[in-house]
Amino acid sequence: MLTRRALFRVSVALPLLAVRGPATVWAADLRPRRCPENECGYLFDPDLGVPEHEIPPGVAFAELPDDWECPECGTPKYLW
Amino acid sequence: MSLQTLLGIGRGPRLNRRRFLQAGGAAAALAAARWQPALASTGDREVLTSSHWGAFRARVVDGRLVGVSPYERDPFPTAMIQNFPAILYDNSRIAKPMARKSWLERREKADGAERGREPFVELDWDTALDLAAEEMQRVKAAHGNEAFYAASYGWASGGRFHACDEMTNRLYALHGGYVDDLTNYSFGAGMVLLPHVLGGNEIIGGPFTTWSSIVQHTQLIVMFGGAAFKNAQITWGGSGEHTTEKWLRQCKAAGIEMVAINPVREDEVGVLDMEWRPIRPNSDVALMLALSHTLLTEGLADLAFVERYTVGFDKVRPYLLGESDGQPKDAAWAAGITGVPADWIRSLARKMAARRTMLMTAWSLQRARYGEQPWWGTVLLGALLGQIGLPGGGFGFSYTSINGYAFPPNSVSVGGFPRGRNPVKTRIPVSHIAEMLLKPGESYDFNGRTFEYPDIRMIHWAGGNPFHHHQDLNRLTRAWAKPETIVVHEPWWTPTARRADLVLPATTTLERNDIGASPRDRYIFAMPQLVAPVGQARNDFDIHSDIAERLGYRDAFTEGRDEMGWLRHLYAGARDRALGEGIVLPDFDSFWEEGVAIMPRPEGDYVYLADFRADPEANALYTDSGRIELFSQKIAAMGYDDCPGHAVWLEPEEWLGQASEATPLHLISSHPQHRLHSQMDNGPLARAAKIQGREPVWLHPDDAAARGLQTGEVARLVNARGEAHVGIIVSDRVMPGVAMIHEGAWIDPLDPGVVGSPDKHGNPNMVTWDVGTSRLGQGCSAQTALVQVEKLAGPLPEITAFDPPPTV
Repeated sequence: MLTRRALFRVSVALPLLAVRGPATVWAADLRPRRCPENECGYLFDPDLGVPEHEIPPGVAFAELPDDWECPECGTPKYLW
Repeated sequence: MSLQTLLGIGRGPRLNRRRFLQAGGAAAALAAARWQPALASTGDREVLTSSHWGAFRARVVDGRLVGVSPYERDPFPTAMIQNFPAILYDNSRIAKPMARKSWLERREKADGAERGREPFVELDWDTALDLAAEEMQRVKAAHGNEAFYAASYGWASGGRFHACDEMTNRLYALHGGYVDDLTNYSFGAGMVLLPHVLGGNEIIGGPFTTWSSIVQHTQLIVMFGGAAFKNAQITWGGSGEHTTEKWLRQCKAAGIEMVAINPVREDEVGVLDMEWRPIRPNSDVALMLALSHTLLTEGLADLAFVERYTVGFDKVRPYLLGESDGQPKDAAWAAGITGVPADWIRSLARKMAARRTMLMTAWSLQRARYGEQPWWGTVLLGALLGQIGLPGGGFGFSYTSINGYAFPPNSVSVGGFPRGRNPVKTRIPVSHIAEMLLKPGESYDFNGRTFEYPDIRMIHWAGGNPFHHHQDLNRLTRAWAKPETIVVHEPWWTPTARRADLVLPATTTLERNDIGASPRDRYIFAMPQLVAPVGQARNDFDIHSDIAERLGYRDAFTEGRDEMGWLRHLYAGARDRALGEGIVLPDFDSFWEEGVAIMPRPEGDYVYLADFRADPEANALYTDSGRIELFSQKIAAMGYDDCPGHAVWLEPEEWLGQASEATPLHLISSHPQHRLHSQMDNGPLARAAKIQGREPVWLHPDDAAARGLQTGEVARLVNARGEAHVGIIVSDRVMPGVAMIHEGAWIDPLDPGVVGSPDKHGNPNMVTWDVGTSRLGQGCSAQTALVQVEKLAGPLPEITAFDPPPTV
């Protein structure tokens, strides 16, 4: 099934191709990551970005700032 | 008292509208006013709602909750939901805002050591909210934002919106910031370790190998720490189905052999025909090393897997073989440490290598001194077995510690109330609260860095109970005396509320509107307000908003939304998210009317690290090497002797190998059967399970006989750190030398607020040790404690844990 997620991913990738070139776009790990905290479980989805942190769609987890924290529970990136 | 009365079922309204009118007269109205909620609606209705304990149907008659029944789709509902009618109206509810007497008179000049001792003064809400806002302004002006500790740790309530701790975070973020916490009491050491070893914590929070994969493919499950059904009664945020017990029973039906390695034989051992292998507490890593040694020396280790997918085995191998320290970590060596027979260890290693084996290591194992080691040892053992990334093989840490884990990934969840961005970057490992309060300005190590403790002047806590969950409560009592002001939001007079300066009575989930959802469940529940607030309780959102108004940022706090506005907003986010996944959720009004939205059951299996196994270069881990790090150069470079560069056996300062005449028993404090940590300790189920009003300790018959103790008696649980009075249950379900107690009893000291005064009620944290697991993880070490249990002579003092404190 062609979901909105798939369409969205294509729409994100195409502009990035122009900016970064194919090597970085396709090499980036755009898998979602889930916050490990029990009470949270927030899903970081590169397709959606983190609007409340001004993180645009298309940014891989590894590319988030080192001091980035879960927007819901505050668990820092290095503990994900 | 009959069980029916205890459970609050079938009693009907204590004072319904008709009776209220019949009673007539001002005297009757005044007598009823304190505890009777306003009659929000008449009639008899049944309402579906949710909670940390799962969904249930609430029976509300004339505005009063009179009974509950399980949600019909839940295969294993917990009996704990039956506590709700009783605790909602319990005498331990906080009726009005309150202030500690001398603090009200002298504020920061009042003696903090009087907390818990002196009476409270009733306040009206405006005065209470003024006081909170004034203190926030005063402390900020005098000491800066690093003087606030507003981390507010605890399970609080199950709703996504009324997440009171996040509301406190947001309030203080808007105020300029606060000192926050890091990690947790559940798996704090493990979650610091595993990113170094596995490149992340998916193995804790998911996704990881699904239950259905295990049922289909696994032949042997080895459970370090066992697996207790009681732990799976709760799900953070609530759930439509309790499924852990269902899956464990399916494992049995599938013929999977299961071994529980645990000092305590839990109920499921018999139900599931598991083999119980008792082990000395805190020694599991020695067993894992010996299993690894057997695999290695008998040619059973999958060295091709080790070579392709891991790094550092060249550093571990000499340790296992004894080449680096002269002591082979063989089965005979481990038998002397663990009490597990050497032949059994070797036999298990061979069996594990011959079968598709899943290792399940409990969270509780890392809640001990050097608690990082059994989790790292699990990874080592899993790597040598070579089944990581295969269906039904490998390891996991969260299978049975709580309900809701090990399902296919669910990408749709209802967002929580946003906590805002904290301008202050200072954080402490959460279990270092007493250390922080006692040692401002002192430095400590954590995960390769050195930090300094801030000087906290004000604490604001909503929805948690550190005077139950923190270790060494006498030490916390000393530390708690330090701050100038402590504000607590609570529905009930918990030990923490009794030790506050300003107590703000909060509603429970039954008295407000919310949405129940968990990222690990496919149900979204409406949680409509069932009854009017009890006493003068207010919603945490309103309390925080009103304080924010006094500080000039109500609009920033509320974003212009009221309670229902936020629910619509949060639901809309989930609905949009679902659409992206091809799932159509009903509009909010339809959802609210229906009471539940059920998403499709995620299909397919997930196998942890299957992609890594298939292509370790393309799917490299986020470790420094991109592989599983059996030896971590990064950790080794930290130079911590309490957590070196690979899994090792480190002898704890307190364990049965160090038992003495004064403290011959190792205390295990487990998750309770009848409450959620300390929540519902005031409920009828937990109260009925106590012995002469005290939390029971389980002792082996030999240990009980040596002390002249019998089931039903009361004894002292004691060591140099403190003392608690406990009931006694004599049972061969605990191994000799071990005492087991369920955590969560509300402490009830003989002399409230006095350091060293015995707890009449049986909280194990009177005797546990407040020390970090290691300088790496700095998790809590609750499971490392030697104690004595001895007969308690003389008349027993009255239990007052659930009585409101005195007021003037």
